[in-house]
Amino acid sequence: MNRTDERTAQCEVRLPDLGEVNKVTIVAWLKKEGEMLAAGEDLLEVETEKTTFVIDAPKAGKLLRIAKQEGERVRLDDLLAEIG
Amino acid sequence: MIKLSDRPPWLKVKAPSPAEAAGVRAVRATLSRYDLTTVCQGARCPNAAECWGARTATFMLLGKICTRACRFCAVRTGDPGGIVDQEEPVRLAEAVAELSLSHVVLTSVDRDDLADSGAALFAAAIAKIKERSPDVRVEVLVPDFSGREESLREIVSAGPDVIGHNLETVRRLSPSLRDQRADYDLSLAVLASFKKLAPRTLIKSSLILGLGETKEEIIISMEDLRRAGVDGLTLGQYLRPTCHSTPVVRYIPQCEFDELAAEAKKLGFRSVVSAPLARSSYHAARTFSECSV
Repeated sequence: MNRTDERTAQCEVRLPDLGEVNKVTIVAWLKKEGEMLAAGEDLLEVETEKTTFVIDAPKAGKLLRIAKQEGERVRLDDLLAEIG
Repeated sequence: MIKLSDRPPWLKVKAPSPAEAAGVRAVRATLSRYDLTTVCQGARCPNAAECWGARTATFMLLGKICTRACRFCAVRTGDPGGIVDQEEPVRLAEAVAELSLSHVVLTSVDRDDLADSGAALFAAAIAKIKERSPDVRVEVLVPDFSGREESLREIVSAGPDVIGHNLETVRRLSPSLRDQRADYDLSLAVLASFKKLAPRTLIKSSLILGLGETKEEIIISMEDLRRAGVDGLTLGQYLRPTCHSTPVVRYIPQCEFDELAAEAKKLGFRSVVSAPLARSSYHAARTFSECSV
């Protein structure tokens, strides 16, 4: 789930609904803060006991902030990053 | 033992798109309103978002507690105490209609606490769906019903379009991985009985791989399934659903799944789905279309 603020064109990257999963672990950020992203580019990987999900950048822009670090456990709708 | 961090790249999946996520929410809301359970939830399936996004789901009948304790399964084991929700088939038929599903897969927990192992409720569910939505194809993935002929007949009489029963693993590993009441030869006998009772119905089975079996053992199991009259085969990678489940012994690459699929086709299976993330009900509608009898 991603929210875009129209005024600043900033976009929050939140943990999407992955089906029947309560908590996932962030395995790897594939981009660093400050890097430019293309829309749809692989941004980070999260894993459950069964599988690894790749989450895309929802829009093009600069990766302004990484809100949760590798190894942290996150839930549905938790803020993961901001793209501006 | 293989560690989680050793998971190979081919088991990575894309997180759902916004459209798929909307589908997930719609299916979950409907399931919750009708108080229904899916195996997608119970087994923590990695394809849940994709399937639900496409508005398909595999329903799990007869509750959330299984009387058996197979070591590869995430469904809770316990004693459901002989309780059966007799209204479940009616609610299920309503939910199927509301979700506008065209191909429904029904499975269940094992219910050794019931005299008929739940066959009557299975049959009622098939009948109610067909009554409410005559064009919906109904595929069932049933337990072994302890091999009771009358239970198998009851399922066949309800007229499912596809009947599946999973062999799960090769003969050598069956006693240590499946519940002690499950049995390799019993599963083959159940499949053979279904083929005899419903010779024109597509009969399916699945093996989960990566549990320590050899290629030769897999081929022997495929031959056994063909001898039992099985038409459709699914081969998928075992993924450990919880840290309490049996560990993955090996992650099998797609090229080996392709080789096994070629062997299966040579043996005469009409439909073969063989891929790391294939599951017995994954792409079930497509499988049916490919090999309609």
